[in-house]
Amino acid sequence: MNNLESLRYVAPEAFLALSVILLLTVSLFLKPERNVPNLYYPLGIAALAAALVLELSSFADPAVPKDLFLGMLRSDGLGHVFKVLCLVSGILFLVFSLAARETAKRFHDAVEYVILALTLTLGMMLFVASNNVLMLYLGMELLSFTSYLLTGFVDRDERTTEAAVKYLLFGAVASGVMIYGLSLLYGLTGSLDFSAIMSSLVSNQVSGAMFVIAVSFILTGLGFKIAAFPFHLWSPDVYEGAPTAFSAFLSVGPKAAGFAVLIRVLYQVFGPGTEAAATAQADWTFTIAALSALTMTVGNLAALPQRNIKRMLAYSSIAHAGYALMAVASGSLFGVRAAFFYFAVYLLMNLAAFLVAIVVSNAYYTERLEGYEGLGWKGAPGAFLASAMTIALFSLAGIPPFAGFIGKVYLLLAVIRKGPALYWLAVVAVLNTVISLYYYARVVRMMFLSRRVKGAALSVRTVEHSLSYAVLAVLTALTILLGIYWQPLDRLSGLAQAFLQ
Amino acid sequence: MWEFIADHILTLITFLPLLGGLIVLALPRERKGAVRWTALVFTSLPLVLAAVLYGGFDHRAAGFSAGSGIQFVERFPWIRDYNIQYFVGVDGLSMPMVLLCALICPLCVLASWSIEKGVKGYHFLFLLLETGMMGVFVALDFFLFFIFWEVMLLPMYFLIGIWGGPRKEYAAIKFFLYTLVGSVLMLLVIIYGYLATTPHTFDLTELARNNAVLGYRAVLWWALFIGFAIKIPLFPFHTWLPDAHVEAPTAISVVLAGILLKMGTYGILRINYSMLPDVTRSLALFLAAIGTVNIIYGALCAMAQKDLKKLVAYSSISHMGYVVLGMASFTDEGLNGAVLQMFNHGVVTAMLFLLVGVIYDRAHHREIDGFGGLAMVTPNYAFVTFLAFFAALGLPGLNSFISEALVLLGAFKSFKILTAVAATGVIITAGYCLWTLQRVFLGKVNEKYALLPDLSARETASLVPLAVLVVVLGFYPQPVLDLMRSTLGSLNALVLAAL
Repeated sequence: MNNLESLRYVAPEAFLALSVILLLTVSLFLKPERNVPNLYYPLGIAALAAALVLELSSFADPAVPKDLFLGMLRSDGLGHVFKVLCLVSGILFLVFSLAARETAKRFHDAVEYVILALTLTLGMMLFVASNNVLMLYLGMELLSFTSYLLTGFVDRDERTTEAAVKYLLFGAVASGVMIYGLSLLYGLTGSLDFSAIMSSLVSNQVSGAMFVIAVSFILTGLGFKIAAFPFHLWSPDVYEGAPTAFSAFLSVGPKAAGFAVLIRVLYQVFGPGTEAAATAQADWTFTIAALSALTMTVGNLAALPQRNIKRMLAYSSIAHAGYALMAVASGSLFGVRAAFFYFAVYLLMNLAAFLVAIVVSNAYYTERLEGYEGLGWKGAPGAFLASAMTIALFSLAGIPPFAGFIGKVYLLLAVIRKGPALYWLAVVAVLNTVISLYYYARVVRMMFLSRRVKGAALSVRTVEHSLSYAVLAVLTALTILLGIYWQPLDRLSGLAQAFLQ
Repeated sequence: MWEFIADHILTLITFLPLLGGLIVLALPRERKGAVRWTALVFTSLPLVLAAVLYGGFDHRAAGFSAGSGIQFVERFPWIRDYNIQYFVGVDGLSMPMVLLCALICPLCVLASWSIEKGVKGYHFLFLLLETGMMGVFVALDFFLFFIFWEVMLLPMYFLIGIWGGPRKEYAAIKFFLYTLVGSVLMLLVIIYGYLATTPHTFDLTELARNNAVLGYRAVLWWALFIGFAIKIPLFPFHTWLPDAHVEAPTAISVVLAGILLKMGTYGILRINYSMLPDVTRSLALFLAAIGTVNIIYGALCAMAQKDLKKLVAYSSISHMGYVVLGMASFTDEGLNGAVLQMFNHGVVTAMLFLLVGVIYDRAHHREIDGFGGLAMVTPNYAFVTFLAFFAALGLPGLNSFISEALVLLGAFKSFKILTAVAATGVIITAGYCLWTLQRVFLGKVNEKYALLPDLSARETASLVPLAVLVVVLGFYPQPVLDLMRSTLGSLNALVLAAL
């Protein structure tokens, strides 16, 4: 499809890009004033919400994939549903930023912050829709650079600086490795387009050391984005140092986008159903399965001794990337459905947990677990917060009747369906669930089982407070509802399967 | 109205407590009385409905696994695309358990009347727990079964962890982790079974009928068995039980011993026996041996205890051993005895834990040697306790005698030596029961407790129904035996036919 025709399929992206430009222009003429409430957050949220509406309304015919802009981008089911996830996480990012003390108050650079958030979301959307090696790299860099900036945006203490520098250095290396892998792939096949690369791999029976190096380097870059073992080392420090709202966002948005691209690359480029892939695929199935098992085990074991809620959630999100990799390892179309389903419920429960962390840190100025002691006994707001946190954490652990359990069932279905070769992975996964329960339950124990009530009661008076409580109620309600009746989400996840021709 | 109740009686029994729980949550925090009464009403309603259920249950028609044998069926699709159904029904195996659960829960609410902290949360969690337990006994869809099975964990964790004794946090997480290990293995079996059948199904009756399609049968059996064995608990998976019991508040110990432990044996009978009959049959000797170990080991441990509650906890391990021994015999007497023992042990152990709670409320300790001569001080209490301990040691004329005799009778046909060994457990049991009674109630009156008040009206109300059952079922066990006979007969035939 040529450039002009393609435009109507990228309405959400175009709209976001225009919003960024518009916001930049407007901010030039508006002087920041200390006493005027911050208008940029609502504007940014509105822009993302509008893009979400556009995205949902462009769902018309996702069953037929279309190549856009002469094959640079691709409009298909996988891209659509993951873009919805990116937009929702972008909206919640700004809402969380509004709720968190460190980013809401005394904050005069809000316009840059909001612009970066919008650009980041745009980068994710281009990343998941890319159909060409160059576009993939550009999307990823747009996403990464804005992430580095946002990590260090609030100059809180030396941990923030450490986080931002560490993220930048790790990220630069990872993207360097990745682009080297991509260039090797170009050298091997002489093409930048996914489908052309695939057909060239098939027709020329490409194999050998060069090919293996190219694939591993590409996996390294993507593994960094999703924080899979052994490329996960940056994430605890970054999560701890970054503004909490941004840590929350990092754990879902870019991770989901990374998974979408991982699926795209593995299925569309080194995909199933072709001869060359028959050998290559056997390889990557096992590689991904091993990565999955290692990632979840390392994440869960490392989370056990954590005493800082953000570090704990960081390791927990590494473990969850490991769980989600199970779906990719299955190499089946059902696996794609399961991966999306898992990310959708993971977004709900993980963001709920982070939102509680934000509210608690607003009230008690602490991110240590000790700050949660007796939370459940501090009046009605405390009981609500602690219950919401409990539901989120038990859902993360995969206990019914919460949505996280259904997500786990989907992943196990995908893996066990694959046959005896991957049964071991299912066993590793469920044993990991038991390990994870131990550290999730520790927070619950702090909140409810300990009755030493420390610190003042919680107040619910300000607008920010009621906003975060309302959002928390919605996230929690959805976590329970989707655990009991998840047919609608399953239908949506089914769309993700329609991306191969 | 009546028609609606008749059509949805199992759903109502299962979910009325949950509804009550939500009402409790909506009540204001200060209205403790209202909370307690609401909980009592919403645990009593299932009891009334269970009585109706008992009246309407046709025990002659009850079979096992064949569609016709299950009664009061409610079945409709839940998640259509994955063939997950809301499928509930009762047969002769689940019927006694539903009755037991419905009976014990209101008594537990009575026993919890003295709880003062977090009354609202306590009763909400308790009602949620009852929904989970009832659900396990009536669910016939494996997925639904698993959800109920896990839903019980959360309230149990909090009930032990918040309202428990000094080491409550340790006990609560230990209980949670142990049970979770078992249940995640079960989850793998569920998913494997679902994928192995065509069309994919979670329907337990269907899985039992088509069990030939399942591969890796021994692995599946063990995965299920470990999950259930942890719940029973069988040696060597029993170590969570004494901790959980000692730390849990009285009513929760009652539920734990009276109902939760039965889920383990219920699960083995319902799932291992019907889905993998051939493996079950081939492991009969193992089952009988581990049952015997439980009987002897539990009884010996009980004898060594200084803490009254721990003693009762270990006696539960011992008594559940009879259930497993009876199950393993594959005779009609043995199986009937096993399920009757499940019911009887539920009644007796509930009494024992309630009685321990009574003395603990007064003396604030449970040291067996710290009392003495209580029979003079609190005659009513002593009378009920003697009755309960006599029932526990299997005195003829009281309910446990019948079930233990049936178990040993059945087991003797299959395993002569093991049964002879197991029978010595009866003597050890008599030993620790009598010794305990002697130390607590007989001898010189301990001056410290000379003015201990006797049973209050509320405590009497919670104990009398159980005491009556102990005596009545001791003379006339037919009402319960009739319920299960034909179902267990066909289950036994199913397993015997498999090898």
